[in-house]
Amino acid sequence: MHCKNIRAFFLLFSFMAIVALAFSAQSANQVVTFSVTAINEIAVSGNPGALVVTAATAGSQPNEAIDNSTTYLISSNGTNMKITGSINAAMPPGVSLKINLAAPTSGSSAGDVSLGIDSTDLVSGTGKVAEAGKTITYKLSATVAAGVVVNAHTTVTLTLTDGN
Amino acid sequence: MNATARKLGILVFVLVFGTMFLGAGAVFAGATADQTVTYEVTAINEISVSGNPAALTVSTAVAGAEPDEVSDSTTTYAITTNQSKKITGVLDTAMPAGVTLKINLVAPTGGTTVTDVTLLGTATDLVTGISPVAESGKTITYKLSATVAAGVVASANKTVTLTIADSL
Repeated sequence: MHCKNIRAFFLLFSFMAIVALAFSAQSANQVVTFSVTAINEIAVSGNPGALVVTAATAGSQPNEAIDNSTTYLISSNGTNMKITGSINAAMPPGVSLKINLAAPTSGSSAGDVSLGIDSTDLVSGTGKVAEAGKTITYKLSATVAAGVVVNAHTTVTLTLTDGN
Repeated sequence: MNATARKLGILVFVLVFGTMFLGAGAVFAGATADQTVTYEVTAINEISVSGNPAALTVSTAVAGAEPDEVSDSTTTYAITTNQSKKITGVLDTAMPAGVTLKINLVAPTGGTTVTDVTLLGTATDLVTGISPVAESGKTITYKLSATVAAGVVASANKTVTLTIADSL
């Protein structure tokens, strides 16, 4: 009985020594799990100045009013994305608001686009990009048929979305 | 008593008392004893970690800028060494293009941290100038960054190996 106890103790001690060695060594490993999700961010620098149609050459429709004081910023790790634009309510009859977005390094600008309540493509085919300071140009035009339009506001929404 | 008997007596006396003297010397030499003890301390270098960091996910960006870096500081390491050493770190395989994994180890007392080291497929110094030390709970910080050029990267694993290495 006594010999059996000694044998059992020896086996237990040996097992513990082996386990201790397994968890302590000159090197140690860690497994790092990582990922990158789809990232699509667009922002604007602020609101444009007030656009006022106020002059005309006799015999011609009123002169267009232009503002290019604002810019947009874009970050996307996707491919073939596009920027669309829309306004929250239709412009008054005879009044037209156009927008022109400078394209990021990868992408194509649609040029002067008349804004409506339905989304319209403004920039297409953007690649993976992180750029700021891209110029936004607004052009307000009105025909004489529009008459006098008192100080009004409209909200323009730019959306970065899948180009497919 | 004749001369022969006298000489014999003297001889016996010398033998007896000479033996007693030598015997007494042997008895007194046993009061101390010397032993030669052989010993050594081997080189000891042990490092362990508290576990794996939480998953690192790059998922946000400020418009116009590269995606935001993410970090994890939930794990620690323990070190015991009786020599002058350094700690190196290495990845089992390279990170995807446009994705960078950095590591920062808080140094044990006396050591110097190499701050925010980009982990590669070859061993890179993370802590230098380590003196004999036994410390635990030293924070490990991981930082994952990705450029937009990296695109979307599905969840993946990399193994980071920390090693106590010779300073030279």
